[in-house]
Amino acid sequence: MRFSFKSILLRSIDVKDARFRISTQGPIDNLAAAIDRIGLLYPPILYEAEDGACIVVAGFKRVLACRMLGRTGIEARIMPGDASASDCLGVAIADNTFHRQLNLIEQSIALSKLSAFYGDGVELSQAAKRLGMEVNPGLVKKLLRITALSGPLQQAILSGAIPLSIALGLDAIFSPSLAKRLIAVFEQLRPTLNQQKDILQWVQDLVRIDPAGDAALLSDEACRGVLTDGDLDRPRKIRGLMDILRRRRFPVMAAFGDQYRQKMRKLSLPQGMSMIPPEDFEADRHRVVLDFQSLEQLEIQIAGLHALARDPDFLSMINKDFEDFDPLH
Amino acid sequence: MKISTLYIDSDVADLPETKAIRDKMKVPCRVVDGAGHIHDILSNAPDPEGLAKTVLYLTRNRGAFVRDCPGTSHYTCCGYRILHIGTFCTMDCAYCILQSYFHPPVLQYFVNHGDLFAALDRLFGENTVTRIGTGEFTDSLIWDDILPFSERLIRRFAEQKRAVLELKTKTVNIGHLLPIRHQRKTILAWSLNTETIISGEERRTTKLQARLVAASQAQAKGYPLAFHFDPIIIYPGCETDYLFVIDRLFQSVDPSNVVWISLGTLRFMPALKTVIEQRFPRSAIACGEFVKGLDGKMRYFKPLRIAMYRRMIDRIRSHAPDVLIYFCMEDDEVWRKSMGFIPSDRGGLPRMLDQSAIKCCDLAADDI
Repeated sequence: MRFSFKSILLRSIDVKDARFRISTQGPIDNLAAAIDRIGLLYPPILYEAEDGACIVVAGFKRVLACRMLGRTGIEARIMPGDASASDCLGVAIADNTFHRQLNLIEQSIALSKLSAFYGDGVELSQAAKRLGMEVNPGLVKKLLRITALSGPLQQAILSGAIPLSIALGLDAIFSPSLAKRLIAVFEQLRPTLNQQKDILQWVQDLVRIDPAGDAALLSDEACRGVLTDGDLDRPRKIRGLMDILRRRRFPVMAAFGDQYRQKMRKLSLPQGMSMIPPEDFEADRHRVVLDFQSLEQLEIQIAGLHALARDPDFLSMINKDFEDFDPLH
Repeated sequence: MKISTLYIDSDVADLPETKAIRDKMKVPCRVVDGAGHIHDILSNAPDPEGLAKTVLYLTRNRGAFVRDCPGTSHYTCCGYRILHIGTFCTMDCAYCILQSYFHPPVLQYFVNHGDLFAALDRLFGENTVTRIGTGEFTDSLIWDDILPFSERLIRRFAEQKRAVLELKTKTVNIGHLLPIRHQRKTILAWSLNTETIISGEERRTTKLQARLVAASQAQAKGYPLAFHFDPIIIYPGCETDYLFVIDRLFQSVDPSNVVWISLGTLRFMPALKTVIEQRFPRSAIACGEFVKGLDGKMRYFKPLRIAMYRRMIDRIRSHAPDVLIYFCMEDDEVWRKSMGFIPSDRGGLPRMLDQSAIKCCDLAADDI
């Protein structure tokens, strides 16, 4: 492609025309300071119409930085007069990908604009690859959905608070107000991916069980109490919030687990001895673990084991049968 | 569900069963070489399971017609045998495991009935009591209005004394079966559930009252009966609802004519949850308190299962102290805590069921 170089009056550049813009908005102060100090190293690429009006193909921030500096003109590379919209878009994407890694929003914008010229996902991913984007058809499908996400969700993706897979699920499943609350929680607490998945699954199930409860989820007193508790650090807040949600999602299991732990405390197991119930109380195999450093300790624990076997609380634990506990009520 | 297209495997195009169905159905029909084309159509549909219920594929059962119940590890199986007449179903229950059991699910009806009856002859030649049913991979009676197949089966079972056939259904499509000479070698069985579950989760099935009336009519014609509370689904108020169903059941039928009643709480492979959420957006049945069972299936938290079973067994026993109640796929702990014994105390579950079949269905019992 044959570019020409030309001095262009900044006022003749329409920076509001964003048809080829790929980059996300961001501060330009540092860029302006650098241009002021060492000059414009890479001229922006413009498309010049017959009447002399220009639109930006690549280099929006450079143009804006020069304007901020009070300059009147700028050296620019000019697209060939016969360049098509598809050519300009290709240059815009390549100019970005050759210099840096596009963030997810930018990838989504680029693909969304490219999709006007290419048919299916395979064709689109091949075109994107030719322009320096590493995307397969599956990812293309996901990335294309980003541009339709709400502003706050896009921001959360950009900030890294919410991974793409979670963001897409959030937008597809939840009401806008609940999605907003979840975004706020994830941005505040930064839970791990697995924690986010658990929270989303529980919240999704809770809404399905009681659609009317949507409005209160995460904004009720208990959740707000954890989220605003100044004495709790971030990991403890995450644990606290997850515990509240888990108990709401699995109330019988939580109550049963409480009963089990209460009995365990009453047993006063000898030091070094622990009791491990079957996973989810589904199987009937319990384990008692003895952790000792000396023969004396072991003898104490063995004596403790004998006492344990006669303890009614121990029996109710291994029978998984707690008086006054009715799972159906 | 109305069948919109009939596909016929070229291999069975000339069978009399195929011709009879084709004449009866009067829908667009296409002869194909294998199921590949149907798989493609279904796999690319936005709702493969929904579409599959409108596309009937007549084909040959190339495998065994008589199979052992697949059962599952760690839980007690009843030792049932399956007469494999077809797959999938025209009714549409949210909890149906067939939605995720077949990939994609294809509504197949096997029409090589000559081979099926030959397999039955071999089965009848075995010197054992056999309980066999057609309702494992499909509903037993959904195709009876296009082919009088169940009638043939019932007549064939009436000619022998070793095996009992169980026709399990959610339909009330039994009028044509009532006059048949069955010799009590066919059990007519209904899946029962609460009105809440039937109206909310079982699309295109019959109402509870209709099922109970049909059962009563079958009983009047001498058919032994069975009932399956499976899946039992736990929801607020379910206990009262299930006990009410039990009361109504025994207002409709004579307990001494009931061969068995099975109980099984909802269980499913994890993949089914996504299917339910997509196909039944208002259903919350997959959001119960489930844990992953020892066989990898999701099951209700065990204390919940046991509590529900205890209530239901107590109520059934109050109406029918002698009827055989059994669990479909539960372990000894559940048996002991809910029933007060474990199957091995009584010779094992298959033996318990065989004995009930012998007693209620007049089977020859030389080998028991």
